[in-house]
Amino acid sequence: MSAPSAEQRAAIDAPGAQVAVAAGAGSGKTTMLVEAIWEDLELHGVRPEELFVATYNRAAAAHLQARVQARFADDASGRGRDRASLDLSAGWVGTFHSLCGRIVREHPFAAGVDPAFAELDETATAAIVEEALDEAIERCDHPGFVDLLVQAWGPRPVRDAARAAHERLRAAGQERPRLQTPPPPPDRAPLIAQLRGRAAAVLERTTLREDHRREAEAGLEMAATGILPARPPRGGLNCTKELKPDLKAFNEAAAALYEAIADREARQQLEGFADLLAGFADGYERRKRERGALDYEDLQLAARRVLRAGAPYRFRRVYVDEYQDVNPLQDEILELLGAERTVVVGDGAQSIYGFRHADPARFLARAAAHGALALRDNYRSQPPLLAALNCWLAGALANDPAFAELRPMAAPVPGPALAEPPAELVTVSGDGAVSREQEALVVAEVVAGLLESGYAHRDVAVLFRSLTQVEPYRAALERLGIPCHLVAGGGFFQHDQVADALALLALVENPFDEPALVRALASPYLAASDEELVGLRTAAGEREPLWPALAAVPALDGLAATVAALRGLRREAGLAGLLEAAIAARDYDLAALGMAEGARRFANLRRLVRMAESFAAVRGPDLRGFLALLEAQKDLAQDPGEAVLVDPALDAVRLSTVHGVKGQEFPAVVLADASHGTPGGGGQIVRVDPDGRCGIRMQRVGASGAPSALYRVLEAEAKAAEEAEERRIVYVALTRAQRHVSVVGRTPRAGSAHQILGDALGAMDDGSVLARTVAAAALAPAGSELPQPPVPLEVTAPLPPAPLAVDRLRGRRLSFSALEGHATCPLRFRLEVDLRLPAGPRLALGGASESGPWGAAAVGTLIHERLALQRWGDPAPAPGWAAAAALAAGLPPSAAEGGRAERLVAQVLADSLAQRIAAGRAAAERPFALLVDGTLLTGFMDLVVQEPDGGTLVVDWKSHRLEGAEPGELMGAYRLQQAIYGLAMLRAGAARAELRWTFLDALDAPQVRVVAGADAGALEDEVRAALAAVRDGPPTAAADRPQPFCDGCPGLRAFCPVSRHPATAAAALRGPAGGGLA
Amino acid sequence: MPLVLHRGAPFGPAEAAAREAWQRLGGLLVVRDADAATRALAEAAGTGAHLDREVVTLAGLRGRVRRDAGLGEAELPAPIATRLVLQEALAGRDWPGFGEAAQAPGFLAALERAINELRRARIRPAELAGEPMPPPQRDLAELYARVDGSLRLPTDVDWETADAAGGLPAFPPVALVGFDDLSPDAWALLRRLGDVAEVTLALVYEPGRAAYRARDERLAAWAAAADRLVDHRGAAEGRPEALSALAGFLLEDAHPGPLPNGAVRWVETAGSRGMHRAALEELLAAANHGTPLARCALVVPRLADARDDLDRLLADWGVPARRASRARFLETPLGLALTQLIRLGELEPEEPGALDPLLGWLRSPYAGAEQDEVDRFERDLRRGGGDQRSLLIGRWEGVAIRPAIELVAAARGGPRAQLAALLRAGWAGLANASGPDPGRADRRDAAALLALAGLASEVSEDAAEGEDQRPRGPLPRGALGRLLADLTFRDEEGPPEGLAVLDYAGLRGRRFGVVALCGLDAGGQPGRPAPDPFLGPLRARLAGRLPPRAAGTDEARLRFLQAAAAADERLVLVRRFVDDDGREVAPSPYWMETLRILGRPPGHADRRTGARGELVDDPDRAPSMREALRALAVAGRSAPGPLAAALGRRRRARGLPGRPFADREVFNVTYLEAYLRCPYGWLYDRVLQPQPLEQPFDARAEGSFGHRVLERLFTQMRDADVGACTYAALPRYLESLPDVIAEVDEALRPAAAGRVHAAFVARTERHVRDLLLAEAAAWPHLVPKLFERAIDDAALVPGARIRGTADRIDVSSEGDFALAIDYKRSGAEFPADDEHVAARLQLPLYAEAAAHSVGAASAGGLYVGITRRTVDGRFREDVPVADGLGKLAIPPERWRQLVDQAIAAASGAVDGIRAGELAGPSDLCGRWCEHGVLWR
Ligand code: SF4
Repeated sequence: MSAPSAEQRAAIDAPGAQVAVAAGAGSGKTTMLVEAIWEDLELHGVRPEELFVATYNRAAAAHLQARVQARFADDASGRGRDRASLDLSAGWVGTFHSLCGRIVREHPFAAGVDPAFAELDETATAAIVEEALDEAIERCDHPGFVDLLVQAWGPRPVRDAARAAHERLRAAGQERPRLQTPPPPPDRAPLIAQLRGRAAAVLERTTLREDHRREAEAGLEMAATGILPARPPRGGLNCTKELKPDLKAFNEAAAALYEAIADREARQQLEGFADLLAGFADGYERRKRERGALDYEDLQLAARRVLRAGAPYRFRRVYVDEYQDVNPLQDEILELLGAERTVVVGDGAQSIYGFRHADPARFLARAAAHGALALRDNYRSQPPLLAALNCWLAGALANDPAFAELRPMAAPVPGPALAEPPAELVTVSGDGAVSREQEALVVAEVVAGLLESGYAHRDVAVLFRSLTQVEPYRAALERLGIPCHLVAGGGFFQHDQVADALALLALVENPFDEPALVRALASPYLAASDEELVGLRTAAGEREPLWPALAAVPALDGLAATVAALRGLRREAGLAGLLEAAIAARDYDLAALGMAEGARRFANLRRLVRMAESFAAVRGPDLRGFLALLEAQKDLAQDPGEAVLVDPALDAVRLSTVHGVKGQEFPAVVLADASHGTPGGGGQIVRVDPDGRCGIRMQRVGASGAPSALYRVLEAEAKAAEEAEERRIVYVALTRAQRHVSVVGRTPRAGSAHQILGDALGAMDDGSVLARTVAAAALAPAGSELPQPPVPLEVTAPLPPAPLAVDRLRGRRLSFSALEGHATCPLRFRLEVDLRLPAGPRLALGGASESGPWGAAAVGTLIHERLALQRWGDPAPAPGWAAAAALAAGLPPSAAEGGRAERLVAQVLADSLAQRIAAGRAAAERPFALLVDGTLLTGFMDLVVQEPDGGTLVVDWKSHRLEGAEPGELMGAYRLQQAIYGLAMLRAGAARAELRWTFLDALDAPQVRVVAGADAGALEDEVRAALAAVRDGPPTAAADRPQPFCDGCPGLRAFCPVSRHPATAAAALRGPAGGGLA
Repeated sequence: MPLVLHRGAPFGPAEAAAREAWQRLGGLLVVRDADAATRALAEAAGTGAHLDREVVTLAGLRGRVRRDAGLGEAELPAPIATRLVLQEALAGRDWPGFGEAAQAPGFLAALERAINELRRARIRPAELAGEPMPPPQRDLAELYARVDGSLRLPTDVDWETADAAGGLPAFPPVALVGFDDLSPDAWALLRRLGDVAEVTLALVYEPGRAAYRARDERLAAWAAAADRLVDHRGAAEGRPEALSALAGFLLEDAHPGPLPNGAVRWVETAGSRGMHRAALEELLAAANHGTPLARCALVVPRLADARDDLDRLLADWGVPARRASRARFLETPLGLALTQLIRLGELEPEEPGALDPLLGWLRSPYAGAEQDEVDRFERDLRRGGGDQRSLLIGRWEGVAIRPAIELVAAARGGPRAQLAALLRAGWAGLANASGPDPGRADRRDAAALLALAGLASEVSEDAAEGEDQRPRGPLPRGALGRLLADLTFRDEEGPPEGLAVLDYAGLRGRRFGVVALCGLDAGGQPGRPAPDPFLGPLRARLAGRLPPRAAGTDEARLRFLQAAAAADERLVLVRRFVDDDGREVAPSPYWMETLRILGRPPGHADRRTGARGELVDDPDRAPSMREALRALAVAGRSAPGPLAAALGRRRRARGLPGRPFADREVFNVTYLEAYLRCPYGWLYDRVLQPQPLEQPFDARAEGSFGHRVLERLFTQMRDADVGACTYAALPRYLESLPDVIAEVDEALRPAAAGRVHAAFVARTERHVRDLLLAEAAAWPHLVPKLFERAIDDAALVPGARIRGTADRIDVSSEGDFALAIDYKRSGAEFPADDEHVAARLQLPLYAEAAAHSVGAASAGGLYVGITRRTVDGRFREDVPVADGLGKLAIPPERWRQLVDQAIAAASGAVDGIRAGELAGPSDLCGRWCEHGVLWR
């Protein structure tokens, strides 16, 4: 990285706690900031968290961060262990909003906000604004507001004005915006008396013309009723000399009273509006609070509250980039930070964010107060171009105190020869009015000329004041075969692909939405022909719904299946997933990609998916809400803009707004549509200044609005500010260029760039800028045929890639009881093992349990635990152990159950098996694990005995009541258990294992299997077969009414037919089915 | 019995020592989670089997201790019950320190976390009391004291277990691996077990390394409390040089310089999807080269943000994956459906706005409603039904509405009753929605309900993790909303052998072959610092008793080190160089650090730009068939099958060669005008006539309101013989106007009419009033005679019947001339030149037809704008129509000519329609026309 220039060095080293740097275009202010920050951290011992760097947008913050990092990476000296300082995320580098967000997150109580607040994006904010406005309008019953709503052209202008006033006052720092309504007007009585007298004087005349009489009478009526006529009564002065003075006096008095009445009505309307605004502001605030959300402005307002309350921040350095775009609230926050040293960098001449309430005067004031340092060396534009721009822009910004000429410092760089002169103003002229399409052709030719002279496509930027009308330019460039890339365009909702996909979704929501139906049918989803569509209408009949008739037109019927399939996905796929499915439905995506600019079309669809995703992240998969929100966005003209295909190396001409290229540079700049004039602006029915002063253009049915005095003042101020800003936008646009500038326009509108630059050029005589006029060419007749989609190149069909399937049992841990559970009820296995649902409620089937009051499982557990504790060879435990163990386990007292448990244990210990066990080395409850085909089988063996002969005995106790059955009959699934245990033993190194499954009720009939090394393969096959049954079997429910094995099953809550069986409801469901909340 | 603490690099000799102790001594190996336990057992089993080796999680270890100590199973209340306790305590008084924040929906969950953390560190209320503290912390201390006795938290149970461990007579040996940190109770448990059993701990920590700074204090304390401390040098073995270098030198001064191997890759992409795709492509490439999928991990900074996108991508590409993340109850489809029910219940019976929530519920699969019926129900209601709860519930019969009724009833019982009703509705809804083969969606819904019921309460070792800063949607009102606002549950997904999708915290202690680390950009990893407003100011005072908060810078650094150390074969670092909107994104400092360590220049990366973010560029390497076809399509290629068919649908067949209207006889005048103006507009608006679900009360509706008022008023005046609207008759007209307005309003008022509608009605009255005044001022001479007059004329155009409705026909006093008047909302121009015949069929044809029907001659026609009071049209100068409209008078022969031109044009249109002629849109049409949908 090159060392800072002398100018930059002076700014970095400037003394004082407050430094203002006026940095002209291309003067390397980022370089200066990066160097200053690096020096703070590296040389002056400033820690990252003591640094506060505010930028004007996220990209600028990112760029600055990247540059600072690169600066550190560049630095060969290394930073040792303190490399930690590299971590700028601990520092405060970001936009004002994000930095304020952090302050508020650290101090939510001082800020009075939700400690887990969320930040609303623009879309979510707009939705809440509209809700709050709806409510405020319905609730405000101030008579002035009611009158305003009647008199205005519908509610829209009132809504627009309320939104604008709210935004403006919040940007100025008002927490809950309120208007300052003007003081009450003076008493009207003297004016009435005066008018009466003067009208009478006119009417007294004996020879009076009819029109004069009527006007005088109208005057009297106005005086009597106080009702404002359509216009002030006024007698024509083309009358006799004698009458003239009287008429003049009458006219003056009538006008004065008229004004006074109008003023009163206007004031009433304004008061009503103020009332509405207050209701709206409060409702908006309440809504956000209810969800714990803050909008962008709230972050700043809340941060100010924290700082005003005296939060403990001790910033050593504060840097503000693009300070000219800071609004009053941000400025106050800067003051409140109270840093050791605050450096603001800006350029009054580049202040182009008036619509965000930035005021360039702020920068000038600061510069004046602290003695601004200036960066005037321009490293961007080649000297001949800079000379031309200096002169041209000096004329265009003659009255702008922030403008200063730049010094040419750009080193010569290789590139196309500089044109002579390197700047031009092109006017497209024609016989009649020149259309935008005609101008676009000229712009395309200018660009073609630049390309011919050696510029690469990517060297050329065509800039616009706004991109609302960019299509003709894009079309004209494409006609000449010039690739172009719209950096960020509007018209998102107008894109066919976006509209088509949304239409299909609208059908998913309700297929009776017929505009959506027709669109979907006509789109590449079906590409229905005109005749098929007419056929559909005929089949449906006049005014009858189209949807049911779809089946009657075979070519169109497929849509019904598509919609049904998408409806089936709603729960599973989520909102964005549904949209992705809609995009791929009927291979729509392929058709879109195969059109001209397919990638861009697809990117727009992807943007729609992202919108769905962020909507669903807040509101869940609410398709209906999503469609409604997009509809509202369309209505509010909140276009999210076309998707961007980011490719810095893309060799295409860039099309962008001037605002969009702030901070960037291009070898050649073409400012197109330069005669377009100021977009938007004007027309508000209420104007508000940052202090809350306001004026209204009084609304009257059937008449144009009457502006109040203050309105006129505020309007004039706003107009002047807009005009000055327009000049600065010209400055920003032209100073992006390194080698060449063309400005193209047609019949200039007042205040447009073309006119501003034309006037400036008129005063120049140095020939540094060329003025030329180009005749508009005749346009080809429009609309005769659409461009054909490209003809695709045929290839053979691709082979589908091999699927990446994994075995769902691989990597799982299964116990024998889980496998046994699968054999009992595959659905329960699915719920518990595959879906990992926790246990369901206990099922008390009522009546005496077959297995006694403790239940079979509890008795089994008691016996197993007791046998596990047994030292083999010792006598049986003293009677009463079972009752004690049952008590500890929380089982109800039962002599019968206890007796049985004790009897069974005693029998085991008296059995010959006990002696055999005692003769070996026995270990109870031995865990084991083995892998079969990637599935981990684990469990605990009841007893493993190393016998003196080297053999291994594995015993498993079975405590079932046999109820007359033979043990062999009950073995069923236990054979698999034996296979698993046997395999485990062999794999663990046993040469031979006897697997002895011992039914306590039939000690004399043990179920024995003996396995040896050679059996391992067969055992594995048995286990494999069991796993395959689990893997491949359908998850069927084993019952449709409650069964004992359903006890504790998650299926009892839902999922299983048993959950819907009336007997399930009748069986008392025990356990915390309602979480103990009921 | 000693407690031995081994410290060292991740997966290095310290961990080997602990595993060796487990192998040697048997007993329990403690690992992070159940998956890790399965893996550890499987690894130990290998191709054989083992006995007497147990692997458990910390929860499993606690369970074992409880069992041995005879404590029984722990019973925990639902988290929501904890919130109820807190809410009730809060409601008791004012909390000036918390201020307004105490009413915020996120407050309860944050407070609960803070109290949990205090309890986990065993800090009692008394320890906070007494000292001067900032007001919020003073409130916290008081509140904590107030609820102390009535709360039983999961961490209390853990402490109970730790305490019991000290009293055990014996315990099997315990070894612990895979942790870099332990909660205070976990450390206490292990320390106490160390008094009765062999306890071997391996903690990831390398003394003196900058990357471990976050652990210096705690590890020093534990080292002091251990019976034996072993610090291991050296790292995991068998790794490629570059990976070893990264693990060994991250954040250190020294670095090994350029290392020539491909074990680390840097990939830069555009946007989040591009980032996920790039990472996944890299992992799939590894899988295709033989690394089992289960040995691949995709790591993102915040699962909550990336989850949905990744889930879809993985499903699209058919990649089995496993992941677990936290989701919000209210964000699930079931949560949303239940919210709709609550909203419906919250509305007053007569309050409008009930249709949306009702439909939201009925459309959900949980309601069990027939979707066809819902479609019709919605259509009927939106085309003119009311929108109040009482009315709607009355109209929609059946079980689907029952939960709503129950919820309305429960609302009177307070939040507990509401929650219980919600649970009942939820389980019933889930039963409606689930099919025979329950899957992922069922699991998620069940998990959400279990969380609501408190049945799935689980203890997170990372209590401070998981703050979700995404915006919330609309919440239920009042206390219920605050309880549900931040209710989250654990959402798990996928088979164990699938690709692992994790966040950086989840990667700790895990080891893979190939790891793709995403989000290495500013704000991604490391994330933004997460402040701790409740406990932050107390941390210094409580001197190290509270664990460090997760997202602090030091902590993030340690996470990154562990992430980089998790790969055995290959590490892929992925970052966005621009976000989804094309804005530049700075690289993470860690990204820069890895480049530095491995001696690569700052810009070194494989950068994916343009469409490569969203599409593959080589069809042969596409992960799915669809991706392959997409790649072909965007490259301008076609292949037989679906792609060729889709490309064939890029254009539709236009025109009506089959002449479907050849036999049509009746033609409306406006129909013909529409055809002449633009045949496609005609096809769309007049033939297809697609009806929207709801006709907004917009300009068109306003126009018909005005029409209706004028028709009624003039009819009344005619019937009362009042005559033309002259100055003399004006008072009669004006006098009747309010009643007529009221009558029309009654008939046309939309269901949800409010203040805006009332203003519209008042405004219309003024417009009509002004219109009447203007009419009087024009001194009319003809008498308004017929209104809304149906025209049906077979004589005008041979072979066709021309129909229409004339708003008003005025006739001369002798009845020999008729004038047609057509009201337009704001006005219309009558272009009288010869070029625009097609745009002015209406007035001449209506005038002519009306004149035929009343046996008079046509005198002319006028468009009258209701709101702007404009008048345009033409009439014969020999008929005294109105004094004030002289400029519209033309010679009778010119009027005749206009009529003839109109007839000829109408006749041409009739022929064109019958012949099926459908020319493309005219220059006047833009793509913004509704019928633009047909023009492609
Ligand atoms: S309730 Fe019974 S039948 Fe249904 S899944 Fe559970 S165990 Fe199977």
